[in-house]
Amino acid sequence: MIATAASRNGTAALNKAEPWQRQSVRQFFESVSWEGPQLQQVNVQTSSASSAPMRLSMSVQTFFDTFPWDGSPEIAVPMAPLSQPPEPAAEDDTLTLDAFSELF
Amino acid sequence: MATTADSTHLLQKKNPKKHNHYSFRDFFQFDANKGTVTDWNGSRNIFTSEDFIIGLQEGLEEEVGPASAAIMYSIGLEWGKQDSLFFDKWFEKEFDMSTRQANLMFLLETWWWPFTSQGWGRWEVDMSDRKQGFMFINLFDSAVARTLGDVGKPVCHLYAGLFAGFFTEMVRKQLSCIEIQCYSMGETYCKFLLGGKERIDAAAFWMNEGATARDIEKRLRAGEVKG
Repeated sequence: MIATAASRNGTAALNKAEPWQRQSVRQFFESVSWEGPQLQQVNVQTSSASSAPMRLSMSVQTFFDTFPWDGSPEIAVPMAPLSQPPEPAAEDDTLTLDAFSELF
Repeated sequence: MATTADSTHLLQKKNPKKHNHYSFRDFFQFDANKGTVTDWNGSRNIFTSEDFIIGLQEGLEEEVGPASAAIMYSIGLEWGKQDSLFFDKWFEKEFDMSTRQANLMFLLETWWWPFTSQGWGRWEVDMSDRKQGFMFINLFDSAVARTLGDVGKPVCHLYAGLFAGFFTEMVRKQLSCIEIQCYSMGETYCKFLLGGKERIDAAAFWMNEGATARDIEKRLRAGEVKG
């Protein structure tokens, strides 16, 4: 697989002068943004900051970097959980044929 | 498949209170000398092939045309009524309790288990609408529908009659039943509606007008027909 740590994780920790192939295992894994912060700085405003349409000429990385992945939701607040379905009637456990007959 | 005739099931006689007796070997007793098969409750059984079901259905259709559905229903109805009397006896004998004292769901499961062992399929009783005076029965692996295949219309009239007959006797009220969804219509399982005659007639009318099972359920739940 051909990939750079930067392109996979968006971290800026890589020393550009030194290709990742020459790093020690420790250096390499230390440069991985395990906690998820610090996306690479992108020269495009995020969609939350601008209503201008994004250009189709953007690279995939740039395009997806404009998404507020970890930010606050822009579209809608999460829905309140739906109300629980009613518990089955307790009488189900004790329903007899005679009681059932009354229902028809 | 089962018919009626009294006989003795030796394993049952030896252990009359054994309840988990629905495996093939336990439930049926084969007497090679007499050429008979007797089930756990002493009922005489015959085994038939799918050709028998096809022959019965097609022969009847050839003889009476569309009335074959009504005839199959009537056969089922009588069968269900007779079977409820038979069930009353063996249930009381096995559980030392009258059918009217038992928990309803337990009672119904106990009634259907022999049918499952005999190859009539599994069922699921949906009682959620009982307070409105109707209920649904889902039937999986109907012997009739499985045999006849996708013919584009409900074919399990025998079952509908069986349910109507059994519940009519058990509930002691005249009840009817209609199959509103069938494996033979390309569905994954069969669905029956059980209730008073007015409701079943209404469901039959809606079906003729092209209503699906879901449409019928919605209309009934909306209270379009009172029992």
